[in-house]
Amino acid sequence: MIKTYFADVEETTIQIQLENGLQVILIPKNDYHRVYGILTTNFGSIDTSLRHKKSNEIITLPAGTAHFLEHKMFEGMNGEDAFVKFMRQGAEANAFTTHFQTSFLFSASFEINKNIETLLDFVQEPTFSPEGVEKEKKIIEQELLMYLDDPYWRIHQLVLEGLYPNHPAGVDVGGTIETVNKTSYEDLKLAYESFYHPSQMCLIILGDFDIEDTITAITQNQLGKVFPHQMYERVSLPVTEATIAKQALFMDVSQPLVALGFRFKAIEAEGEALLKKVLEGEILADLIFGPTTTQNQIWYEKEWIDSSFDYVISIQRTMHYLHLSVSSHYEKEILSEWESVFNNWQNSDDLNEEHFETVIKGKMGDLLQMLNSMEYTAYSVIDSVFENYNSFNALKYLKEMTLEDVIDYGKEYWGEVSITQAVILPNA
Amino acid sequence: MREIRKGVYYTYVSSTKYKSNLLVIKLISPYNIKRASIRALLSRLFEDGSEAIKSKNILEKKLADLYGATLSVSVQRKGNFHEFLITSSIARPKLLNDNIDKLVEEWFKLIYSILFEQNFDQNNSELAVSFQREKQMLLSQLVRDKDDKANLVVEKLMERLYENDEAYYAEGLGNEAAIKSVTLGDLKREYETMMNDSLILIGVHGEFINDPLEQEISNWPLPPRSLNISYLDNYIETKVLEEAVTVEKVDGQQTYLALAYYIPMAITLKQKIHTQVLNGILGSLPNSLLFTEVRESEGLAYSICSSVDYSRQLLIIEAGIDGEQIETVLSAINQQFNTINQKLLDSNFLNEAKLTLLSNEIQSRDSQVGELYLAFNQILKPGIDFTFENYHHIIETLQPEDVASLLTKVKPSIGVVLKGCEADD
Repeated sequence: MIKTYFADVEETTIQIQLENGLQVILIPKNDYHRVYGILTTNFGSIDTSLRHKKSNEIITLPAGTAHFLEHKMFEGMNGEDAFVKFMRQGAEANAFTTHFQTSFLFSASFEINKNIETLLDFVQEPTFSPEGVEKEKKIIEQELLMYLDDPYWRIHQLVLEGLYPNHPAGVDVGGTIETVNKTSYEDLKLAYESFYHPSQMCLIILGDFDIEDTITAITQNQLGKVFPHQMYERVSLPVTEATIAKQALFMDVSQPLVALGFRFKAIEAEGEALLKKVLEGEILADLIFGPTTTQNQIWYEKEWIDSSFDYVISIQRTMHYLHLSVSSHYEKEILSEWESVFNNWQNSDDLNEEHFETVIKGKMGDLLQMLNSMEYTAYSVIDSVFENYNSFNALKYLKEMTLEDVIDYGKEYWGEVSITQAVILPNA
Repeated sequence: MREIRKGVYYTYVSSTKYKSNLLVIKLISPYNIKRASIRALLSRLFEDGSEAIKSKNILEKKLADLYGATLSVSVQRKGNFHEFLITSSIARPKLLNDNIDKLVEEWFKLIYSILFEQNFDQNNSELAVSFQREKQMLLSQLVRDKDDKANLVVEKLMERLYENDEAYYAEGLGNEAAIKSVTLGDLKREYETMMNDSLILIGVHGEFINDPLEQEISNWPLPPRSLNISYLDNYIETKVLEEAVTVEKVDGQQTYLALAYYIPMAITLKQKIHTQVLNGILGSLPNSLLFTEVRESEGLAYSICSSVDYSRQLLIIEAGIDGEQIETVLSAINQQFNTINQKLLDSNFLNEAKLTLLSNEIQSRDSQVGELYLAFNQILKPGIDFTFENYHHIIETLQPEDVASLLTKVKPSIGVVLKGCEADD
């Protein structure tokens, strides 16, 4: 058991690795009235290709398998699903899937250990059935259709498709209606057996709980549980295809939505070095495209952007990209401007020490304020568990960071770039 | 809360629970569409800066220099009233190892400037430009909100419920016509009315040394005001219409449904909690009938839930469904109302819902804004005991008959279905 106090952020973590490999992190917050528990496997929508450990046979799972499995984990015996079990203990449960992970969670104020045990049991003792899998297809189809009607989701997905053509990173986390309908009970079983071993998972508990009691409850729960031997391992597919230069589609929207995506080469850093790179990337994006830039004000005054303007930088395994988007009547002007600003980032007036200090201060405050949220805290810790760094060190690294560090990151990654453009236009 | 001047209330909650210090200012006045639109424009101009803070960019820089302080100015309709809301937070200065007094002082200077150093003079040429821009952007936002079909279906439901009389259903931004008609003169007049006549609630939460803020806030140029506002009887008249569901085609993949049901007026906390329990059982909790039966058992929807609009005495069911299954879904929803009484015979069913609502109530108190809003309720809803103990007592003593009795008074009203079709259909 490793107990660490992070004075910068006034947080304590207690980290334990159980004999079966499950990583447990407890973050006591005794001022709070609730407990948030989240169990995550390092398996997301990007993991569609598996290799048999002995025969080297490669199997491809249908796109959306991780998300489908997330849905089916809630199926319980005799039609009683896990939501109901949590409700009996006064807790609300949920789950979500990303490109890299699948998480199951609860939020509760009573029966904390019982809820933790329920979380572990329903994920580690699945009871989904072939009939249940068939029935779920209709529900997931409705979910996918709902997203297809959301223009902001569509433009983000278009950008990912453009950045990662014919790669799972470019496909919706939920897959497509076609791949969902192709998914079988056996696919889900195989995915479960390959990726839900405790050695690939982490359990994070935050809030007001008794540390000793909680550790005992978790340890006891895991004792005697048997997990299938993992026959398959993930195959990370390289990104090989060129980006799609331009994509456009028509939708029932009142004004055009435009987006520009920049794909960078993968980051090879690991552990704490990776955390530093993530922060450097985020600071560079803020310095060049953030609300404190002079460009931002100019675009705003010209009405090229409004409050819908957004920029996201992703620095994760395989997916290292920058995505700019806005709802705007000036789609040509803003796309051309963004590209020009990006290409000339090293000559930007905003790349100076004074602005850097402002952006760093802003980021430090943002990080602290986001730690008010148990959900945000948990998600940042999950990333750090799987990438082997400590997210609570972020504030320390920001204090140490220099403008040169950020420029070096830019020179290394923003120099080699592939671009994609996406536009959603109103129906004629 | 303390009345620092007539109609201006202040409260300070000392706490180190969160990583931030928070300031919330609510300016409340009676609702009308024109006022809503003018104040919506004012909120955007506040976010653009002030006389001393010349642009949005300068404001953003100042906020970042204050270690990522946030500032949001928004508007919302609350029944017959309009709320103009300023929310600002700053990381707790003690965590930043910077000059604590200076940071708090600068933060308050910025808030003061946004609130009081506005120049809405018609001769202000810079204002004229930003006014036109913000007006245009606000109009775009209003139209864009309809791009989301889940919003659109509820908006259409309200249009029909109130037979297109927007005074009843327009929201915090007002409407298109009102926004277009706003002049610079309107802005100036409404700003003055807002600062001089609104009920003002000011809440500060966090870690400050010796509560120096009360003195600071007492010096703000806010004259006494005579407006009496209570949310105790804040109800919008609802017209009773014959039950009917209309289906309209829209360009989209999914079909969206919104159904309205009349519910009895809930005035006391007890009445509200009883309504909350019925809503929980029907469609707001994860083991509600709509979720477990219509979604999980029948597989008829991915999203389906119910909610309560207390000020309009309405219960609203919303769902995203397959366009070929409209009748089946409507029938399945109706069926759930018939099932509730049966389910209430099982004491576990009701007890689980009560336990979850109790847990949710406890959890809702883990919010910095929520803690201040509880204090604001002392003024807006005087006489109501919002303590957790009282909530606990009411929900513990609730019996199945209470829910059954309430259910007999729920009457279906109208519904709207937006059937998703390809553009050419």
